[in-house]
Amino acid sequence: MILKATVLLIALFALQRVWQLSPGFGIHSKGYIHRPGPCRTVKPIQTGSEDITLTDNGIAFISSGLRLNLCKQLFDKKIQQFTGRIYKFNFNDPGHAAVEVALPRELEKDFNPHGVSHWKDASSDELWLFVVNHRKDNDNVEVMKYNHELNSLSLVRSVQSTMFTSVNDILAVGPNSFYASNDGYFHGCLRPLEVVVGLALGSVVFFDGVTASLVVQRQSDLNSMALSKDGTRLFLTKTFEQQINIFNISKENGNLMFDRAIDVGVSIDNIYADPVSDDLWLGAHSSMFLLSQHMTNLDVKAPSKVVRVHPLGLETDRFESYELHSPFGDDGRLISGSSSAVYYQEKMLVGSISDTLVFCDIIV
Amino acid sequence: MFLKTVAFILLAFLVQRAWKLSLGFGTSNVGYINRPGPCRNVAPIETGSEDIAVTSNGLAFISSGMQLSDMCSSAVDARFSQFVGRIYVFDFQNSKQDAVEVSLPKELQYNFSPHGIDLLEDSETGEILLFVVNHRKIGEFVEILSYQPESRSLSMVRSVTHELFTSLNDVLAIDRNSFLASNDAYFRSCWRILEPLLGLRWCNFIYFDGTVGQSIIENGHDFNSVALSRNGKQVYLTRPSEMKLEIYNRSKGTETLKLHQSINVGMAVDNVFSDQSTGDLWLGSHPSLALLTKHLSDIDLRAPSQVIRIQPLGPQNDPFNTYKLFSPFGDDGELVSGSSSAVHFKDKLLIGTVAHKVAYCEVQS
Repeated sequence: MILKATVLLIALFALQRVWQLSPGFGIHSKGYIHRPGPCRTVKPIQTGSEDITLTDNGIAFISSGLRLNLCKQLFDKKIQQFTGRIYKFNFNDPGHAAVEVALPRELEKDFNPHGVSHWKDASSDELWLFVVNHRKDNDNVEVMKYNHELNSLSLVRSVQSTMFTSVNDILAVGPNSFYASNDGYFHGCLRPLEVVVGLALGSVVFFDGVTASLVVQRQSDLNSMALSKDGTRLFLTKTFEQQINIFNISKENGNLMFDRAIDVGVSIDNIYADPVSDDLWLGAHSSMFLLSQHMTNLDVKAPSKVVRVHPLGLETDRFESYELHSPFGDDGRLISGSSSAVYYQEKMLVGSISDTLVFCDIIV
Repeated sequence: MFLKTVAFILLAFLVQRAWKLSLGFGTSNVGYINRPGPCRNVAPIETGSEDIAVTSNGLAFISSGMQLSDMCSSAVDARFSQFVGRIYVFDFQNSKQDAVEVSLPKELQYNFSPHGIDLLEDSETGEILLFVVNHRKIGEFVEILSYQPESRSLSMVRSVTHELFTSLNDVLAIDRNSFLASNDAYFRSCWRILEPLLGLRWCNFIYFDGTVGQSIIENGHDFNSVALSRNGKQVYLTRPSEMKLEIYNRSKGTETLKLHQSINVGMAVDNVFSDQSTGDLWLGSHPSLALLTKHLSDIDLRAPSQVIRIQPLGPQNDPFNTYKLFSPFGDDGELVSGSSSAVHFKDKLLIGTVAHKVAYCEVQS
């Protein structure tokens, strides 16, 4: 009797998980090709461009060569050979290739970059780059100063915390302070189980320059973050749930208060908030099913998609109503596994987890 | 014991039906906005533009005002019974002009609920013959009409009905007297809902040779729109709830069709247009049949729209052996709700809907 009840409960739970995961999994989703204008890959990037951060004058910094430290056996062995790099791309001179940025000596042999963010001092023009680095032992947030003339980065500080369980993205809110999103808890091969069962072991950490505190706890499926134009709201993406969660930021202590959720209808990855228009740009995966096949064998193409959320609400509640646009779609042949998209003056850059980087002119 | 088995089998059957239907039903499917270039509505069409046929020099004939109320009126918006069936003509080469209503032959004036449409051009005389599926009050008809360009009117050539016409959807003209026609269901009443729910295979595909009508494909399910390949050797048929485009090899003369290939388009496809200059297939599609159903029960509710282009990359004798899927147009339903057809002419697109407006786009990207 108890056995029957237990079996039934497990079956119901499994059914419910399948139901919840399947829209995001997209077994039957196709990657339709459509472009906002002429698009091409940016040399020399071929081993990923997972995240992109864009300065207000059109300079993009791209993290490349990510080796996901989550159950290595599941991924294509070629990924373990990737070299972690930061590239720079200038939207004002888009004909040029992306240029590799020199890393600080301390990181040259221990660099596995994931999310990136930047902070620019309004008066001095000094630029800091914040990079999530999956070091051999744990996840660090590297705060680095960028030198324009030498095109190099010097290490200002390397932040570690026991609260960094599995850092995915970073959002700088000052030269010393940032938010870090933990996309889960387990590394290794317990992670697929964590996702399938839906364990709520993700969180968001706020580091004020001195101490780290948990501002979002007991969440699953957290991914990337961006800041609103006026700095009062934080956007957080949830991949399988296909949602953007909007939080109000407390000025005193950086705490986050949940405001609303936006359904985007596709598995979204990294988010970029356009400081000019308030639009949100997202790299998205039309099919997590094909993405997982691509990560197991990089020769298998994973369809890519860019989504732009255009707010229609008033100043006080911008995303009360909104439009969903999709300016870019690909079957995976130009770019597989699009994870990020940034926009600058009618041009767009699309990054991917382990594949190319694409530049598009927007004529439509 | 017996009761439990029956209950279990019934449950398993329902789960399987729900699974199969949900794929095309798209309850979670969003209509993302994307354009190939500047797009706008074409006046004065507001009550549907279900199907479109185009001549070789860009004259588009649009069937409009289909009154779905003859098909289970309790499930559709009451306003459908007020729709007036019309044929409009739109000139791609004079795209700034509005669409113009074409006058109907007297017999059809209060007796016109048009659905699928096709045309034949006589290369010598220049005559344009229109073939229109008409859901008359008394039954299903294919009207063969001749277009008089000077008076912008249609004269009746022939009106065809047959006992095999149970619920016509689209028509494919073969010559002045013969055509292929698809039935999308057996029932024309509210019973038709049972057909997809239970997976009943009561649709057929008919060849009318001018005198005799016969089923050339039987025991089908969910047949929708039909088009012909450039060289006349292949017939394309859409299957909305299975999100498929089927390709049949055709034997001219006998009109026997043999299934050659099935392309999963990934979305509920409606009408198919075969571009004679490129061989591309253009499909009006519905990202969400769930939202389309809601839109048909209340026209004010928006249904997302999408246009899909299938580009053949294979050899002459098997063009869709490999192919690419493009989606040049998407809408959340504000510009056009429930896109059922898309035709392409020299870098311009016309998009028709089941019960809403028409969109015209320049294709720049």
